[in-house]
Amino acid sequence: MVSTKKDVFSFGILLMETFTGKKPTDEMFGGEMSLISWIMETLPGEIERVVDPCLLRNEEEYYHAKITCLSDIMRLALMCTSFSPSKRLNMKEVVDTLDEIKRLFLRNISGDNPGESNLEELDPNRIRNNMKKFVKWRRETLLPNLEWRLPDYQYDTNS
Amino acid sequence: MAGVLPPELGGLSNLKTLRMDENALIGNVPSALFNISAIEVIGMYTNLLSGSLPPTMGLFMPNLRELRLGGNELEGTIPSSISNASTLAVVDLSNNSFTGLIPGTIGNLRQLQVLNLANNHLTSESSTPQLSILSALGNCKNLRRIYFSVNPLNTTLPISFGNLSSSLEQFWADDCNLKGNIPNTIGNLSSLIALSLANNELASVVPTTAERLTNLQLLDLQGNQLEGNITDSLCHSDSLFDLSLGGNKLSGSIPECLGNLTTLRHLNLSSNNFTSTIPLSLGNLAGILVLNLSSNFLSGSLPLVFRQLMVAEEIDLSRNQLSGQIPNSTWFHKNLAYLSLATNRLQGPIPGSLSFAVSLEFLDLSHNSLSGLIPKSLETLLHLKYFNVSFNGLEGEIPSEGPFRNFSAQSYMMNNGLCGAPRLQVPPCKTYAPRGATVTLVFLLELILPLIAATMAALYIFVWLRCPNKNVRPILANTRFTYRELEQATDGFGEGNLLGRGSFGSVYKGTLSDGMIVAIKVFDAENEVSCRGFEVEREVMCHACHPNIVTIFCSSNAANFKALVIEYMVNGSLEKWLHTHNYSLDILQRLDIMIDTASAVEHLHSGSSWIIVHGDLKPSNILLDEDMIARLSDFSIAQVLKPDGQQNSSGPSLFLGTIGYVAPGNASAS
Repeated sequence: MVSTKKDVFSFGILLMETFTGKKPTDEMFGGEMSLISWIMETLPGEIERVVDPCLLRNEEEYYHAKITCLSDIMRLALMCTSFSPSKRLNMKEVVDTLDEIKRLFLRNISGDNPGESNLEELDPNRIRNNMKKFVKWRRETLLPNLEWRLPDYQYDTNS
Repeated sequence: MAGVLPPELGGLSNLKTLRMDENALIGNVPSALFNISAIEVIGMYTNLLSGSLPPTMGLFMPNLRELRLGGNELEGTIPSSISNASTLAVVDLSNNSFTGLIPGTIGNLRQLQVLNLANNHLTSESSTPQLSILSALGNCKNLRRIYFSVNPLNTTLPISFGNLSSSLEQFWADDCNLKGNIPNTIGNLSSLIALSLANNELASVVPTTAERLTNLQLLDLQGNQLEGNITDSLCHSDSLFDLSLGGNKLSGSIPECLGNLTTLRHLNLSSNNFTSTIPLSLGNLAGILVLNLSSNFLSGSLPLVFRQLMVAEEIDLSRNQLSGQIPNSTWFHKNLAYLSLATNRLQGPIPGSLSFAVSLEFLDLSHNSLSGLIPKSLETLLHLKYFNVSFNGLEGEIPSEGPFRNFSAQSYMMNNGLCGAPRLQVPPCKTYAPRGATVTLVFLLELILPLIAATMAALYIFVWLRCPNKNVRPILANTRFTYRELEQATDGFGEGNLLGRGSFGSVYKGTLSDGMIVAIKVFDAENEVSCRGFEVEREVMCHACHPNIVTIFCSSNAANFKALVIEYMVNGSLEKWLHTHNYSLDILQRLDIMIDTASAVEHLHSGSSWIIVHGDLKPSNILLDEDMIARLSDFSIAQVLKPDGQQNSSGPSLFLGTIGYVAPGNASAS
């Protein structure tokens, strides 16, 4: 049964290759180690080890923003490459997430905040929920809430 | 809960919190309630309570923190005794019918954080010309939000506006009949996140001190009489997402630096007197949803860079003096629902690529000097509800399918050459409507050349390459190439023009006689698998019109020559950019390429009458055009499915994709 999830898998690999510079067929992979497992082992926290060194060449420039962006991309890539097709995202979710990652990156490099990420640990069963939360959270962080437009009743009185 | 509140509630002397919000309570608020000394929170917003508040309210509530009575039918004045409830932090009396003055004693509520009096009939003292309550509120150092919107205050903003709490985050006073200036002291309110003074009669310039409001997310000054230039002072916010200055008398140029406000989602500069060109920097506003520059005196052409506004839902550039052509290419994106370019001086054709804006609901191109045909590809815009091309120089047949079934004669009036159904009040089309000399010539050649060709068959192989989908690319829609032309364009399909070789054939770079460069993918016509690849790729490319998918011009399906003529991508493939020494992409370029690619794949996956699985996503199939925009290519192993999961007649491909990129399980499936 051919499914669109086949493309999602390939797209995940494509993301990994694009930001690590390593092809899935690189000679370093084989046996136990694959491009996917290599990346999975470095998350969270050691993303510097796998990303294309060209991308972090000027270490001090927007370093945190870049690391956050690249970690999010790698997490997204892993969510595309789950072994079970039903646990992979669909392309709509992928596009939305990439859009949000980009917007946050642009925002972070304008102030180089220590990049915040909200993608929690990678439990395949929670991927969907996480992704929804993630997209929502990103949207809320970036799109200041529209509560002003509405009758404002839920005041926070403990500022 | 419905009904009247029993006055006995006042006997609950230890009651601290009373929340009865969003019910159907009617009648008065029992005055005994305001005598409970322990009470801390009274919440009855959104009910049907009526009557007035007791004139002693506040005298006996030393612990009251929150008073929420918004959204009722209360009337009368706001008792000035309210100031005796000195622990009040939240006062919400909005959406009622209170009259009279805003009591100045509210300024004694030193712990006040939120004051919401919006949508009442409150006025200000006529003895002083200024909104004196603002001076009084200067004492409330914890104030975070003030709402005065929709009250007939009929006054001016005092200089002491700037003495409000430095923690003030929101100030709303739209529709309040405010007059005079916006005081310069506004720059002191450095914590402001939202400032709305819309729909008043303010008549100054935008204060330059606004540059100190670096936390602003919303600035709404529309519907006033502001004049002068907008200076760079508005470009200093890090997080501005709504900038509305429409309906004023602002003049001069639209500042370039607005393009720095990359967080902007809404930009409204409409109905002013701006005279510049549209700054190219606005193309940087990648997250913009609504862009309204209508009703100004803007000149110059439509910026090509607007194609970067990928998520825009509404673009209104109408009623300006814009000239030149409507850009073709990838200007139109899938989220665009509203596009008005009406009443400008635009010329040239209506681009067929408008059909990329698949969500388009409103399209107004009226009152320009547009010429040529109404592209038939617009029939695919299924959501289109309003369409107006009146007062142009359009000709040819009016499309009749899809949304065009619903448009009336008004959409087309005052064009000289349109033809179609009688209900549209245009002449009927002749069988072969005149479409200009070139097309007629092509038509004649179509008739005559085959005859000649038949006689010359022994000498030349003529292969008519037919366009599979005339809507794809209007510029080339009527072009035909002969085999000889393509042979000449590629130096006889010589090695020098070979761009790459795949499992199904070879891709050549071809330079046509008019200088245009195309890519020609020639399939191995002897090989059955290759022929199937050709069929699938042609079918997919004809279906899948998207700014991030390589465009097909023509194809040849002759028995001995199977080829596709497609766009030539000058920057080669992502494979080259990732893995060749001396080529490099920064993080943002890579991210953009991935977003482009994902958009293309999503488009393939989300068709309404078909779903296409590409099946071979990899860097060498992602091509980059002259602007480094990614364009997906190579559909020769794609699968076309119906939405119910059934495969179409093309059947499963025999080729399973590329090792390393194929999902686990797929290799063993067949």
